[in-house]
Amino acid sequence: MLWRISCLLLVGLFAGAAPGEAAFEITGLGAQSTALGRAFAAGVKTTEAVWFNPAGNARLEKWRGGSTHALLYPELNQSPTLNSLVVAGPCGGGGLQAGFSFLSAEGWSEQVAILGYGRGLHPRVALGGDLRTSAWKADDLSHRAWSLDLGGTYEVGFVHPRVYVRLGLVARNLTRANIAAGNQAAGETPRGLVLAASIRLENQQMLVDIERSDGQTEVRVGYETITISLNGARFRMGGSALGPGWAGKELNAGIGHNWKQWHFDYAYSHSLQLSGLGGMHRLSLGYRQR
Amino acid sequence: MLGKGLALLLLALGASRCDADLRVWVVDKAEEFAQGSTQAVQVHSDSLVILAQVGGDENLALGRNVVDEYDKGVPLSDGSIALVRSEWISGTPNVFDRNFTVDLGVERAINRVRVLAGETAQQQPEYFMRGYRLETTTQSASQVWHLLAEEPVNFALNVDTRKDSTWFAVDGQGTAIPQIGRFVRLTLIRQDRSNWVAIGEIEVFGVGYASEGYIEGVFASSTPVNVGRVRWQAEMPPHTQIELQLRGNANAQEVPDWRELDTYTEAEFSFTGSEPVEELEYRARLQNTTPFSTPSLRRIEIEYDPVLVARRLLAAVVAPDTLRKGVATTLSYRVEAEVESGDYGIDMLRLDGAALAVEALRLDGRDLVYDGTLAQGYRWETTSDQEGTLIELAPEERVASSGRVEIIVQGLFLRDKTSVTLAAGSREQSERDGYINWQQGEEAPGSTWTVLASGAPLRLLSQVEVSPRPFSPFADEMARFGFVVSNIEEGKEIVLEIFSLDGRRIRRLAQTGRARSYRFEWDGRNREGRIAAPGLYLYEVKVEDSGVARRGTFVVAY
Repeated sequence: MLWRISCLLLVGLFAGAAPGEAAFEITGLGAQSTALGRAFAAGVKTTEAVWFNPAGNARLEKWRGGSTHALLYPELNQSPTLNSLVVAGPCGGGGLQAGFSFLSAEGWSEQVAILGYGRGLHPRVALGGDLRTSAWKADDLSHRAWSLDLGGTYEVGFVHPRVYVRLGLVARNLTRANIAAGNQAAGETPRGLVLAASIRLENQQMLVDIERSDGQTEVRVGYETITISLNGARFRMGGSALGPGWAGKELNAGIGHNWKQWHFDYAYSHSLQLSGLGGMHRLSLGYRQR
Repeated sequence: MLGKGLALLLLALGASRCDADLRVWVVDKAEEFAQGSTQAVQVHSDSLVILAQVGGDENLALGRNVVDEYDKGVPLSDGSIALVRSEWISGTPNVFDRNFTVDLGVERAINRVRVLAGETAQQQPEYFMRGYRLETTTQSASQVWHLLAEEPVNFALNVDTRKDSTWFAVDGQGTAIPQIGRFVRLTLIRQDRSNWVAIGEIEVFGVGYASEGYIEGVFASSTPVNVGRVRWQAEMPPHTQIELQLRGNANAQEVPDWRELDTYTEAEFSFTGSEPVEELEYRARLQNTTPFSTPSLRRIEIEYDPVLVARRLLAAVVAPDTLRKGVATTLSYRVEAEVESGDYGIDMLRLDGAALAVEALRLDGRDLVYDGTLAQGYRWETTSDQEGTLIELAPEERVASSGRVEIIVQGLFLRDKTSVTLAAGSREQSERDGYINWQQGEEAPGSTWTVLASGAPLRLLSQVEVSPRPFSPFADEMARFGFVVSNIEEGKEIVLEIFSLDGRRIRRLAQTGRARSYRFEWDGRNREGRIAAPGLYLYEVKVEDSGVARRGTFVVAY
């Protein structure tokens, strides 16, 4: 119980965010990672790892796939919609993963496609890389940019008979993709470095991502508990904060359930700075090869 | 007309001529200030007007609000101890801890308090206070009260801290040291079971400067003039303030009450009363909120032009009988202009009070042509705050003799009453004086320039129009957010916030205003000054304390 309370307090402590703006920030994220506050760079063996760490699926034994449908801010007259599809599986001793995401709104559309590969180099170490292309279109303007991410995971193992720890490290956007059609400096997206940890205690998991990018530090925290008495239902919550000042505010919560080879996940994101629009809803469906 | 006792300062003799026409009234000498009527101010020998020192026997509590511990008003500051009517009687012997608080309005340096027994106690002395405590504080809800005087066992019918030597803080000679405070509290700290208490008056005395005073004076001219810029010099230490008011005698109308007139705290402003005037009365109000500081008024300087734009400007609105709030309505604004040969004549008009779009303009029934280049006809534009409309006439259309100007305008009226005031200007005057000295008009007799609207607008906040779509911070100057706020009489904060798609606020813009149309402009930068990246963004427009907001999306693309 103390562990659970501590996790909840930590999530609340870091719940908040400050200004940060660009296209593609939310494109592609699934319900599981969103519910966990987007603290997922140390998450492995799930299709959603595609968007966070190319080494996350380095040790996959079976193929799996998933799709997400998101409704953003339903209180708007014309709410943007977001759809994504991801496939990942074993390939050449490692894990291959591909994803596609499409956001559509009045006067604006954006797509992100990603192809990544990861491989275990050591029982504890896995490395990977991905190439992603991001494109947008607004009226007669459009643009496509390319970026490269590198990532790795390190299995620390059991630091206590009941506590298992994994670390993750991701270097994002190494090519400093410029998303401005006129290549103006303002459209250049910064590089980022993410240090992540996953701490599992029996049927509970806590994830922490710390990302340093463009002189700002973002902390993301997520917590998940599996409730055996409710047939394995997973309850998740998370939050994020962007320094300095930790002025922004975002809280996330969600549920998930596995049934045979199928996974169902739902997440709700709530920006405390923008409280009147009904937040963001995400529904994900996944399938895992037997 | 202009107040008995006011000295007439015929300063035209001493006026300096800035150029061909512009003249200046000035008052900056002790003897000039001294001719004005004053209240609670004194003219210092070095030509400064300052607040007067408080007399030691002036009751600072007189007429101030006094409440008991239940915040119920009690008549202990009305200058009377009259039986029942002007006294407080306990009604029970249980008076322990009953208290009364006097609000002096501003902080004072208090050095003496008197508590007079009520008339009931004067007749039946056993109604005296058995014990009392006097305290002061600067904050209304303060938990910290500073002791002024205390007498746990009192036998005096009337309490006077000076005579009773009960003042807590005294110097080596036994003189009371003043205590700074705005609120004075009297607490009854002893009771006996047989007698009630009757209190008639709480009097507070202090030292330092008066909290408020004013000086008045009159500038006069032998001919009607058009008043222009007003400047004044003063020194205002912290916790002090000076406000200036002006009123003229335009067309022998009844002089408005000071309370109805605008107050100016800026060191330079333009006169906005009816014109032309032959006498202009000023009132400078000096204030402080702490007893040992006073503002010092050094000089008042008022520019005026003896050459008028017009002899007289009478304006009236002709509006439909059933004008509904929030519905765009066309109406006629009629101006009767009396212009003589020596006047500048009118080639500029300004309508203030509402956002109006000019649909047509007629001079003596003749339609003028809209011409943005002003080679002929007229052109118009709204003022930057969209609460006014500026109309300019081509040179050959200048109103050089008496005539009627009819302006057909379309407006959106959002309040019960909207006064659309008129001012006229002249390019020739502007070129001579270096600025436009607008000559204010007045309502035509038997008519009005106030537009009445009824009903209720459909909504407090209209739809928000965003342009251009998409917006480029590089190709477009600004992203504009236009909307109308209805039905707000008091000034409220109107806020535009811009968010990235993940709900993070990147910019907040705010204006304070009443019901009117608004236009916010965003330069595409976040609060750190960096240009926002291409993407889909959210906006939210809201009215403070209303719970009403409009939200939507827009695109930044470049």
